[in-house]
Amino acid sequence: MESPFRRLRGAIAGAMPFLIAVVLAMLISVPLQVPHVGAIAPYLTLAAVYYWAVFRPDLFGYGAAFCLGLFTDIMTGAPLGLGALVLVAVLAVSVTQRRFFLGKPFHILWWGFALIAPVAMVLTWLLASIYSGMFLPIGPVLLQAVVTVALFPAVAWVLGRCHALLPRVPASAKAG
Amino acid sequence: MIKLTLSFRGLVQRFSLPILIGAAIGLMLLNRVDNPVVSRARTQVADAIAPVMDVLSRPVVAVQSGVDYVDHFFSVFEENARLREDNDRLMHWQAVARRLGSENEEFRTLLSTVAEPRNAFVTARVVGMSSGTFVRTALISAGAGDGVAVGQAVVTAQGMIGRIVEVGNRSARVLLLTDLNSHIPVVMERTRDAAVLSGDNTDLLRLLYVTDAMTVQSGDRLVTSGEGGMLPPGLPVGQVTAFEDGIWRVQPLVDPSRVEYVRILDYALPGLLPTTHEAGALDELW
Repeated sequence: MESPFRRLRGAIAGAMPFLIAVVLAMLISVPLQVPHVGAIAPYLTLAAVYYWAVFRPDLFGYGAAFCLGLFTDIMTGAPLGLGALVLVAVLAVSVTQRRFFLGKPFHILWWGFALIAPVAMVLTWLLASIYSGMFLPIGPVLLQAVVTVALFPAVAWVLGRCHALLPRVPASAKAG
Repeated sequence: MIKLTLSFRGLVQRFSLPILIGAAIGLMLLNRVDNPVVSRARTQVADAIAPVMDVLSRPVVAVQSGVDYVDHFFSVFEENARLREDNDRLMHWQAVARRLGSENEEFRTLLSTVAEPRNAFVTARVVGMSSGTFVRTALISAGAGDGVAVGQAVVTAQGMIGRIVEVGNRSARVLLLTDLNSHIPVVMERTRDAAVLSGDNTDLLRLLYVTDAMTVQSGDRLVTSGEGGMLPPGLPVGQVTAFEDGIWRVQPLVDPSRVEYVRILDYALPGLLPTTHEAGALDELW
């Protein structure tokens, strides 16, 4: 029988990856008061989904990715469901590749993100273009992908700090 | 029974990926047809987040004003000289404006023109900004509770930045002029030719359906025409910059990324919708 304190701690730890991702989603919508930066604002939530998909998929399921996507859409005013669809897809793809990245040096992880982020951004662009019935400019999307990939080490460092605070992976999740 | 629930849970878990992808596509479709439930859910979440975003955006503003302070400190002499020059020029303009104002007043009385309705306004802070490729919107910290309503014009001292598209209780979403879905009826200040100013998710606007495209010149200023009764006429919007791919491009007068406070104009065009008092009077008449 677990003590209530331990259970509370477990619940907070379990929700932490999602809550951090929510904070990242809010941070990218803060008005920066600097011209032209908004157009290339990094897609930080994408980095968070990728990171947790590789290291702790037990704490970041499809439901979490879906809710995070909906939240991002509401923050930015994008069509509801657009971010949700892309983040769920990114999680699904990243989880299948996680065994490859585990235990590898950091630059391999970064390289993996450099492959998946542009694909996710182009998917977003494609869906947004279909939604609005015309081809949106793709240049800024690619630039945004470059910025997102370039900032990945910083995001991964922050997430890594939080990751270190979490309890160890339970045996059941390790098997998955 | 237990077995049934277990198998149902198992099914949901097994198919959570296709279910969620289906749900996301379904939501996008509902969003496309402007479903009121989806819209209400969005505004409720925005209402809950607006105060948090307000707090998050304060440090950025503090840093920015600190930078500005130091910056001004170094350029105080040049700034002073420029302001003196500006002041001389503006004093001259003030004299001209006063003369034109009284002249206008006289003409109005001569012609018995109907007076323009006066604008009431609400001031709000910009707490969220998304100026990306897909949408160009801002989240502001005033909502229906403060008198903000869908369709109202959002302006700064320099000119218009957009209009309200979604209203919660204490937050509202502004569709910026540069958004793909923004279309504003305008007139050229110089020639009074009508046109429509559309965004395309870039920093410049497109000037469409100009009455007489031959008369447009680079540097022409555009103001709202007030056509349709949604926006007050005469709000400065932008300046024609260049002719690209067969259309004139317009630079908005305000860069939304530098805006901290905005004003939301409540423009009630008299006569368009009868007030209850007038409606009663009409009933009596008929």
